[in-house]
Amino acid sequence: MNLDSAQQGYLTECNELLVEMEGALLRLEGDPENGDLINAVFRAAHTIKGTGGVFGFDDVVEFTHVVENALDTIRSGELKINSELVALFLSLRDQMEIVVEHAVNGETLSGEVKKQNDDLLASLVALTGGSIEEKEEGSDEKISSEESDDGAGCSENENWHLSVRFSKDALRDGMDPLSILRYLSGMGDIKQVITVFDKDEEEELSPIDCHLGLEIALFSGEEKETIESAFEFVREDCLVHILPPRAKIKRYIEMINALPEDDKKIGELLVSCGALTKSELEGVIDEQTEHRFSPAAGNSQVLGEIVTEKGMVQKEVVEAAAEKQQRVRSLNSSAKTIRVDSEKLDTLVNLVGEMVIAGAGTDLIARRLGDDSLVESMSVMSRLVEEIRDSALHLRMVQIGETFNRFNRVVRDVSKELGKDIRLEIAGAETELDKTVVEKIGDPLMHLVRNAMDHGIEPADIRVAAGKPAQGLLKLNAYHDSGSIVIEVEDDGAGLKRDAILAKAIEKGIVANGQVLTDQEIYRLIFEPGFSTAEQVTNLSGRGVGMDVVKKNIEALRGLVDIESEVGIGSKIVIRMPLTLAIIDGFLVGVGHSSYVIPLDMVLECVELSDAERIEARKQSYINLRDEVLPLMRLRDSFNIKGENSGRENIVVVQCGGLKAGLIVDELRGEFQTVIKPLGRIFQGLKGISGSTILGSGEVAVILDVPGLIKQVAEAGGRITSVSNGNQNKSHVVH
Amino acid sequence: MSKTILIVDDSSSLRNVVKIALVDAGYDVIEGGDGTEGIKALDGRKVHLIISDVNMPNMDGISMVKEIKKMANYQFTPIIMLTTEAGDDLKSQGKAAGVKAWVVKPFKPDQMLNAVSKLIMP
Amino acid sequence: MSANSNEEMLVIDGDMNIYNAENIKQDLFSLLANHKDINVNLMNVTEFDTAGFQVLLFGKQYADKNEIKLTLCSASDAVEEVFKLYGMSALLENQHES
Repeated sequence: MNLDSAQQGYLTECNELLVEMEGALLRLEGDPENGDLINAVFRAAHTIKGTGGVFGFDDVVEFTHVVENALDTIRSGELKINSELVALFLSLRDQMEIVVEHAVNGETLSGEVKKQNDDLLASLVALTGGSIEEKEEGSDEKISSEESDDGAGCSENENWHLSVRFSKDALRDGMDPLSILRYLSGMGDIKQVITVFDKDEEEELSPIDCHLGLEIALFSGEEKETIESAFEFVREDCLVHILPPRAKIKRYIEMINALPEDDKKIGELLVSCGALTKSELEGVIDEQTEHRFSPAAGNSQVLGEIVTEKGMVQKEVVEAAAEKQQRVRSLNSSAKTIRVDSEKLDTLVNLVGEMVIAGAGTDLIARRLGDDSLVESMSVMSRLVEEIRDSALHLRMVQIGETFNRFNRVVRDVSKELGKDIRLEIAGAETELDKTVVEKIGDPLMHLVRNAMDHGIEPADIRVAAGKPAQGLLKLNAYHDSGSIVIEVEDDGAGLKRDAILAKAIEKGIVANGQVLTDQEIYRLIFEPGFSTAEQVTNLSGRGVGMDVVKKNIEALRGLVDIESEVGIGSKIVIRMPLTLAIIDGFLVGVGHSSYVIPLDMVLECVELSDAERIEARKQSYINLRDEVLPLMRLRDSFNIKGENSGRENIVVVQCGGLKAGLIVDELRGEFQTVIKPLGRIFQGLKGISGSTILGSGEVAVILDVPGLIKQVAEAGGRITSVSNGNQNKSHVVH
Repeated sequence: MSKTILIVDDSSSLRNVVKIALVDAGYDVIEGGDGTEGIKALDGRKVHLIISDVNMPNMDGISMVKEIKKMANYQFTPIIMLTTEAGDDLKSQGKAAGVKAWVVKPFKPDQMLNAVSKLIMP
Repeated sequence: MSANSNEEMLVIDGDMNIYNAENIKQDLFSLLANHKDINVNLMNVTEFDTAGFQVLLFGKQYADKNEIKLTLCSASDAVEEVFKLYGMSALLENQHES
């Protein structure tokens, strides 16, 4: 463990806090009185500053400090939040992100960033009426260094004299006088300690009350403040006097008056401690007596008052305040989750994966041995392992809400930029998906959202003319569907213009002239790499920008993207992603001596090929399945497996994102839990393969990349069968 | 036998830095991310000092201190609370709960070590 | 050592701190009430704090006042350090060091 990793941890933490802060700020705009939200914003700034300071990130502290103070005035109700302030705090938040990043990377702030800092803080001061700049603690009363001027009236003592009377509760509070002695001995030489203990009824005394006082002679070159700091934690409850070397005799008198013991006894203590000489003491006693008789009663009375003040804690007030704070607090502290290093989770998931494999192996052996009780207990084991697998995977699941919520800000900013009024509606925020998927889906989503706002939703005047509400609507939706998570980005804009797209595609040579395409196929063209949008074909043409990139990114995550659109009503982009990238339920098939795994949620049905069909299938790359054209692919051919299959062949009908295809295999081996081992770098370019796994027998099986295969089938010229609805029921899956 | 310090703060990177500094200085360190975890971390072992943040989710520092003050084996353990200059109201609450030692955030690891050494030595 | 009939030995083992000081004090004072010559063996004291120190201090003061011989012997390092810090090493019997 070194500071580097701690700093990375800080960065992660800050990013999380900043996301929270942003969310709270955005909600504050509509709910400016919400104390919880204000507190959340404050807490984020507070933690970033606090922890940043510990790392010595002065830039972070300096900048965040001002923000925090401003937030505090809002929190205390001195200042009301308004949309102008929200906007400013959003910018401040962004700036915090920059400053934090610089700090963690060890970069000094560039002039530009500094200027941004200053500008933002200046606007903050302007908006908050400068009430925040100087909210320094008023308690910095620097006790002016004791004038240790030589000359008349000064003692000859070379040492500091420290006098302490501890409070009765000191020990209970964890403040052991010994700690102070040990600490003091670290800053000089303790010449003499006299422990004062003058109670009589020892039997009645409790040893956990503190009955001690100390008179200490300390030889030290430290400043008074440093020496004073040793008593930092006790001085509020204890009586502490610190006299510098050669302090004025007057100071001793003041001290003697303030101490609870008999003056004479103190005097003797001071002499034996070396603080005062005998003759000095005599002088002191004389003066003391004088004061006693003087009507003004001078020092002793004043000091007496101070002591009482010190001892007096206004209990009722403190308790009342404490109680009130308590109530507020209990509202604020919402249940949070434990944060675990994602690496640890990965290790766990990996181990569970190994366990699944080992379990499968053991299960095989048990079956082979034919020992019933063993088989039975293995089946219990298998069930448990499965449950462990599920809960382990669940640990990696996070709600998509946080990702979605980021778009509140995006929509707000972009619509301002575009001069459009667009509302974001979020549904299914609680839908869970794998953390890695969440991390990677952000960018494509960002692209889609921006595009929808930029090109999908029309300007207000056009909308009104078309009889739509002036305010545009963008919807983000997520839900689970047969082992996948579906994310939809929907707008109520103008929709895609079919003819314009087709014309464009023909012009670009993506589609041959005269080729007949369904509407759906035409819409999908916008995902084609060559579908340039340099010129405005329709007001939706901009969607082409980077759409192929979006598609590629999503496919890299074993996902699929599709679009639905209706002119005048709007467009909807549907992304379908696997829930997790680590383990899948697979369907094991055999071709020759090799085993292949097909993700089970993509398997629709298995069909045995009749001899006639076999011959048919050999001739053409499709068959007629219940009056539907099903494109086929022979895995034997695709993977170049030598030898001929003597037995029957089967078709596994797979479906992905509304497309169906049939894979011809030799043997169906049934369901199999598959731990995906990513392919090494060398194999990553291989088409049709998404990973590998180890079977219980130790054999390696290749996991088929079904979306990739379907695409290959499509490219091979086979016609793709569209499935009307993704929710189609699976028919008989052979086990 | 080195002394054990419990540090409770919801910022894990802050805990980390403080832990590194304290371990370097010769203390044993256990940690918790909030009041509940802090109490759980005590787990019957001997703890010589508790450093705790105030504002934390689930169970805040002051509630935690109140709980600890009820535990026979920990009631007299010295406590350092982390506060901010803006946190006067919290401070009075903490005092009522029996906290005497306060360290203002942000602090440098050295400042924390110094504060610790006013209460216990390694 | 042949103990005279009135000599009592109190051995304190382990911690002698705020968490058990009250109990140790009771043990010590019940001896003080019945004996005139008491040896407190501090050889095995591990953790020793001000509460522990005060127990011995109370005992010493009580013994002095009531003419009881209370010897604090074989102080462990922890005990010795505390007495030294408080400037009270004189209260410890240094029989060991010779």
